[in-house]
Amino acid sequence: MLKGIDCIIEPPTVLLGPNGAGKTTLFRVILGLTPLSSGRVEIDGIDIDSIHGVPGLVATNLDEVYTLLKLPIKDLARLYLDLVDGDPDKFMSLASEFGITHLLSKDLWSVSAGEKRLALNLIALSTRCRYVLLDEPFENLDPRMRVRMLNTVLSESRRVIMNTHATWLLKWLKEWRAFIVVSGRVYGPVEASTLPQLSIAPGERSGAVLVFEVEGRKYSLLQGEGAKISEMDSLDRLYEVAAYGG
Amino acid sequence: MFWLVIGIVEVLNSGMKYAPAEAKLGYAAAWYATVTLIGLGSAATGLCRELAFSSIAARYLTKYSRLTSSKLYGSLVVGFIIVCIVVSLVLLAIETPMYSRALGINAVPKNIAGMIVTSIAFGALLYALSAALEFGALAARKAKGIYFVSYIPLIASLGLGLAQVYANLGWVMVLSPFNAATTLIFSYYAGVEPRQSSFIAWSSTAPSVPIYALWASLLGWTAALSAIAIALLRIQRGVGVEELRLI
Repeated sequence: MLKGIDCIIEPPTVLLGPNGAGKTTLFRVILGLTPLSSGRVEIDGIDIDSIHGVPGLVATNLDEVYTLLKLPIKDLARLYLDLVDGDPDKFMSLASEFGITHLLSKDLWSVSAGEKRLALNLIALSTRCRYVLLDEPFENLDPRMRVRMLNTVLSESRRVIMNTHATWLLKWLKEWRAFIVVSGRVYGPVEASTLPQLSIAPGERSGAVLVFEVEGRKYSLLQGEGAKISEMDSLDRLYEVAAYGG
Repeated sequence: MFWLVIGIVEVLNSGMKYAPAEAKLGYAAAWYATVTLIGLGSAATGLCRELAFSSIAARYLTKYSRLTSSKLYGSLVVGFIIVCIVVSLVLLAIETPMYSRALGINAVPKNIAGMIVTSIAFGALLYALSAALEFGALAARKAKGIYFVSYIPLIASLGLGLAQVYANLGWVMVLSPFNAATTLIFSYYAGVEPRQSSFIAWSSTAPSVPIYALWASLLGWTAALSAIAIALLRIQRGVGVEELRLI
């Protein structure tokens, strides 16, 4: 459940938070794929409820968006890229670069979680859309593919908004903004590449880059004392840090 | 298949085998019409669930692709109509030899083209009804209702189809698109004028029903339900696969 969100998100941006924080729900809200109890979302100043039949605006790798037909990955990519004004040749080239051409004749729902994630990332990145929303694009990828995917994402960064709980990539996200998403609330923005040098400490501290709440208690993101973000494998450890300290 | 066999059992347990050839053909026509209604109603149940599982994809594509709600609806309805044609032809291919043998007549329909066209129209009606119900439940965010409404086309097909076998429904057979479709299929199969009569006690002296009234009902309901389904498709926000799996 998302609460009290008031922000402008522009690419390149990373939404960083533990699993269950509401990052994917926020993407669904931005895309107009889930109801809002109050408030509104605009894309380029246009209320999302009034957007109909606008190809080239937003692409995503959310898997529920690709459930219309059960098709081999190659045909599914061709269909979606045709409908959203994408580039099928770019998809084939990326598929070859990532070494997944042998998967293209398989059904999306019959491949492994990592292969599915990879295929959906590549479909989204092969569109010519102004905004590409990537939900946990590195989830379930093997380390070699994660680095390749990061390079591809960085080369497309002027149109990418992604969410992740991983912290290993933050130092590579130069000129990216980051929002911290915790318990359905969004805090920020901060400069993404500065996050590895920051720590999380309990209470509202002076000099904090930002202050956020975890289960009703305030925590500060600051230079110095506390649990270093660079030492957390993932923001999933946030609740552990909140409960037991760094 | 089950209902076709039930029809044969009825033949064996009744005096139908001693009836005139026209009555026997009418009997075969009545079972075919009823079984088609039930068969297509069953197909619509699966269709409703497919629609629910792809509701987020439909929402995304109608917002961020060249696929408008009406184009998406049109392409899905064409797919279902193809299923309806195949189901109708398979049932016909099974029924004709089965009933010809059991009744001792040539049970080939008089107007196969009319029957197929009616099956196409009925397929479009079932799709429109299923989509309107499913997208209505999705728009109202009644996740549990999604499974319940998927059975409505089958319940309506079964209830209204079997009711017409045993009871004279009068003008309900015109007002109800299910019975309008059954009556049309029956008339085209048997080569007789539609009449206000039950199938089991079909009477050539009962008041006739104009064919255009049956078609007007079937097409009118289809148009109205299609318009509702397209409007609901535009406003529904879909429901997640995880949420559906939890129900």
